[in-house]
Amino acid sequence: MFLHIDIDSFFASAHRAIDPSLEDIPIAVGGRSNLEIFNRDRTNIRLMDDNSGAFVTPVFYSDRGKSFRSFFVDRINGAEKVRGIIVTSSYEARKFGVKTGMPVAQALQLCPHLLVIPSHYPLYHRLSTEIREFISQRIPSIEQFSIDEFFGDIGGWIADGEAERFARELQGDIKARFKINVSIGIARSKWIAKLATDVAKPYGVRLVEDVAGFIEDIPVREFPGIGRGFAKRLEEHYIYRLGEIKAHKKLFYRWNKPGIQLYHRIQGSDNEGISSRPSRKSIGISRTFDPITDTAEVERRVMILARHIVYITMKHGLNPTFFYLKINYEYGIRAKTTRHSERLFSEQLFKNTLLEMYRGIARENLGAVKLSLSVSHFSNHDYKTLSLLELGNDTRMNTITKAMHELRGRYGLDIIKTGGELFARSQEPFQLLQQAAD
Amino acid sequence: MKIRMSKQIIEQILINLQPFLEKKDASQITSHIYFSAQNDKCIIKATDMEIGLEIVTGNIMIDHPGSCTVNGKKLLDIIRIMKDDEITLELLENSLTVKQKKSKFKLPTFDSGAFPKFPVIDNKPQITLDSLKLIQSLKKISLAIDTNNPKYELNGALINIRNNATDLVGTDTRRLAITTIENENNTELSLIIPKKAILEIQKLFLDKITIYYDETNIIIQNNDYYFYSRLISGRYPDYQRIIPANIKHNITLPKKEMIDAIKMITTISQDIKMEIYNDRILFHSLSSDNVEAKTELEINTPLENKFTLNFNSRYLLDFISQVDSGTFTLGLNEENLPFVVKDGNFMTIIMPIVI
Repeated sequence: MFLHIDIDSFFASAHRAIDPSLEDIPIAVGGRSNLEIFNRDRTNIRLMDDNSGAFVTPVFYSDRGKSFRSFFVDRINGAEKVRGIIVTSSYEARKFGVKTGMPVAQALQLCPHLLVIPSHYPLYHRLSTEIREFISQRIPSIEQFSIDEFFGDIGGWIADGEAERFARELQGDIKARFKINVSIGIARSKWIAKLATDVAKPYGVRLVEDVAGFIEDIPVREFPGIGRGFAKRLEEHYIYRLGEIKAHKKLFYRWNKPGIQLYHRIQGSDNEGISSRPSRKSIGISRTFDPITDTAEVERRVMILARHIVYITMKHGLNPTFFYLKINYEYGIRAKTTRHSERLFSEQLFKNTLLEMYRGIARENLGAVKLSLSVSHFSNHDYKTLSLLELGNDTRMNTITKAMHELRGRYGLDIIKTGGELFARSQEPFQLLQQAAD
Repeated sequence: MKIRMSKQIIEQILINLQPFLEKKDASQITSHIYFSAQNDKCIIKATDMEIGLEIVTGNIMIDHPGSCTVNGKKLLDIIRIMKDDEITLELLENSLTVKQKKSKFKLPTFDSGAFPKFPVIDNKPQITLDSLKLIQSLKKISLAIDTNNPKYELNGALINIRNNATDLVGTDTRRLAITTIENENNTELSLIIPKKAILEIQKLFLDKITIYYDETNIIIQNNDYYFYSRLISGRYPDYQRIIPANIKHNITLPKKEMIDAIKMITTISQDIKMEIYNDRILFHSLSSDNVEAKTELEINTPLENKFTLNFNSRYLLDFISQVDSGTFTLGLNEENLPFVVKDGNFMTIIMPIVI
């Protein structure tokens, strides 16, 4: 049997766990695009990445405390404006219609006495790690699926008939130890267990024995892995419920590997096991901000994101050979580009390559609103042979980057920046001097 | 123009000319073969403007002199379908008729005056190398030459003529192959010859040849063929810098046993891990799937501690396939640094997979 353990409204629960006064009142955790990494002054940014589960994204944070006002309220031309979106909300808040992804301002209209707490990722990462440790002492084979979800394989460990009792015990123990509510789904396959958890929430346990009966009336969108696009495609074939899928085996097989995989996951016949040490396949970072038309400033931000990517990548001792850059502009316009680089990795190589990539796709007179960067195809995973011809110079640059990372590890990621990150290239040195004098 | 010949003769000539034809666009004159019949000799040539070949033969009967062009691929298809007997080619009203007994084909022709001219020898300088040795040496490095590299110079072989030796170099950025021919030269010179030309040279020339060159072309001539190729302009990487100056450990390895061991592993994965101990070498597959291959070779090495090499087996097999003797030398420095394999004056520097 497989268990899927999901923490109920995790970020909200996490704050309750450390502050009992938050119990029984509607609360929500709000987030804002973390833009402090673009600051020109030092903010002592560190990497939070101890918990390297496959879907747990690394977080960069500065350890300064935040209040609601300083975090969510912007002053624009004298008027105050509440910014940010709801990341998660307690069940009390959900009764008022507060939902994940909703603007904080709208949530406050629906529920004026809602307490919105600024997100605090270091707390969530710490708790998530502790809970994983706790569960791993009870179940030998577990997989962290995201910051608040775990899969556990109890086959051969707990008898099938005992699974539900075991899950309820585990649920109670986690509550007693962490003051955190979890819901647990149990099934003979991973993905059905995950689906069962959705039904079990909040604070429930759901055992699924008859897969066909269980999925019969569930809308296709609810299944993990079926997004808006895929659901639409299924609708075109008049498939709306998971129960209708069994009859369309041929259709799914036409969609090749992803289709075949999904078909079996839905039928509970995927035979997928626990991947207890998922290896990273890519490392990415993205930021959303108010439109910027100055290409030099966008370029500066690309360089800053690049520094962060290089730091995580080299911290894990990886050598990527594939780079990806995407820019979202206003009005839904997108530009993206990729590049193979089978060379020894370094900050200089990455920044130079990205600069070429950015200049190749940058749009003038159009406001950039989001930047996404990622690296993948790691040489030790995909077994790539790196270039022999540039090895001499690349090795020197790699050594320099490693030395910089020693300092960054000790004094924060922003202790060393390169010139391109400090000022936009369009600014004349004279102007900069003047700014400095002012 | 009217000429007659046996099927065998014309078929062989057309086969030799195929690689020189433009294949994609049949409206181009470069997709055509050029015929010129004059004074008992027939000249037949093809070029795609990058490389070209001219064949002069006396084995064709000339009834009426003249010249024409005709699609080279179509003509070969027709010749192939015909019987083993005499074939007649005749130019009639801008069409070429191909006849054999009661069968007849008609093909369109282009203005033969518009066929591209080949570069001429004039007073071009000659390369004074043992031409046979040159061709053999080119063959050894040709496997290492890259294809479709955006850096054009890497899609060719470097011929670097120095005072006391000539180096032939090929690389695909991950390995670099060099053969050195010891000889005395008056001139210092480097040329980059496209990979395609090198492959054709190996097919065409097996005996004594003369080589001429200028800044843009290389011309190779013998009794039967007149071959030319454009040279690649560009700066070839400084290959001397890539050859390790010192080697810490040199190990002599048997060619056949190495091939057997590596081939065994490559049924599972092309990337392999080689663990070299004092008394044996262990070969493993490098694969992320749940498959595994392992084999072992008992051999004495000068290594006191284990040395691990991860690499793409193709690079080593390409080298070994060009080794003349029964053994070769493996030169090692550090695990993650390039290693060298050597057989006489032929060596390959290989970049390992860094894990």
